[in-house]
Amino acid sequence: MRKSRILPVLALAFFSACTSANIRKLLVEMPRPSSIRLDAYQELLISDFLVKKEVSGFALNKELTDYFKAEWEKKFKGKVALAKAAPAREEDFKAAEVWKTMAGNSSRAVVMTGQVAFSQEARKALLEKEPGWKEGYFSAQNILSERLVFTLEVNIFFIRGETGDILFQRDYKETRTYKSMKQPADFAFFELIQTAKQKLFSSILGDERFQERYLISK
Amino acid sequence: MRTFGKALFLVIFAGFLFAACSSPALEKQMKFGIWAAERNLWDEAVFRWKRVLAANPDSAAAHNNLAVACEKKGLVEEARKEYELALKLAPDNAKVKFNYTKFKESLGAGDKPGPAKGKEKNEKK
Repeated sequence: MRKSRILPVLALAFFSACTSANIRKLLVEMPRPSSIRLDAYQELLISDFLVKKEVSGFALNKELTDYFKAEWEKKFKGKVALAKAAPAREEDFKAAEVWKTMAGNSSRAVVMTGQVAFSQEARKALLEKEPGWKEGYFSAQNILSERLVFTLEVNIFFIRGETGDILFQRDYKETRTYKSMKQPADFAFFELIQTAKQKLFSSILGDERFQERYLISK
Repeated sequence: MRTFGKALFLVIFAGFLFAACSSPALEKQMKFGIWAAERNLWDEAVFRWKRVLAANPDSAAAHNNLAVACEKKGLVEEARKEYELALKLAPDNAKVKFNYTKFKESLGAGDKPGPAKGKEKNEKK
């Protein structure tokens, strides 16, 4: 009878001594490696983008290349320059010779280029209007509302200057809806390109994210 | 006589516990490493886990922990090597498997050879 009481206690002592706190779960801020080693290059050439669609009155290519030049100058340690040569067709992105010539076959240069589409669209929708206290709570009515939707699609390529090989290619599609039908295109563009830029930079330069990991003591 | 038998049993049991729970000096090093890692002192943690590995190169736990530290320091290849060693030594350890899977996921497209390709979409109102 006594034995049967002491054995479970000993078994419990054994298991608690050998299993407790053997594993610790940690939330670690892990660096996410960059997609390309941009620090291996000393010159970043930003070529004109192939414009597929644009909003009238807005110089899309100029705004885009100027924006990226200014932003890369903050992040890239080498020289950032604009190169005036837009690919005429989509196939040109795979034509290594175009990019090799642009970069002067330099192993130190990398070319950033791509295609871009920026569009605006007015959308109408029936929205339920909240009744005020005077109108009574059961008198909800639908009203026709207009929204202005801006969409920016950027397909970005990073091409090695020496060989013309594509190092990195990614599509970004950003959409934003505005209540004001008078929303200027340039304001919308800068809001959209900022989001795309953040994603691009975190892919290219790497970033840090919290991740779960287990540390084991036995 | 009965009391002596009980005492002997307890002594043997304590010895068994001690042996079963591995070498206490190494365990102390392991735990110190974890304590340091929890306080973001990863260099200290690496030092402790390397000491464990110097004494016991077959410690899957130390390889796993070192892999996490390498990952934290951005040493991708070293982390991969350590995770693979840990998995070789403890192929059924769910925690090591979890860490390795997450590590590979975090590498994403960079893990695969060739140019990085992808799509990212976002809609805001």
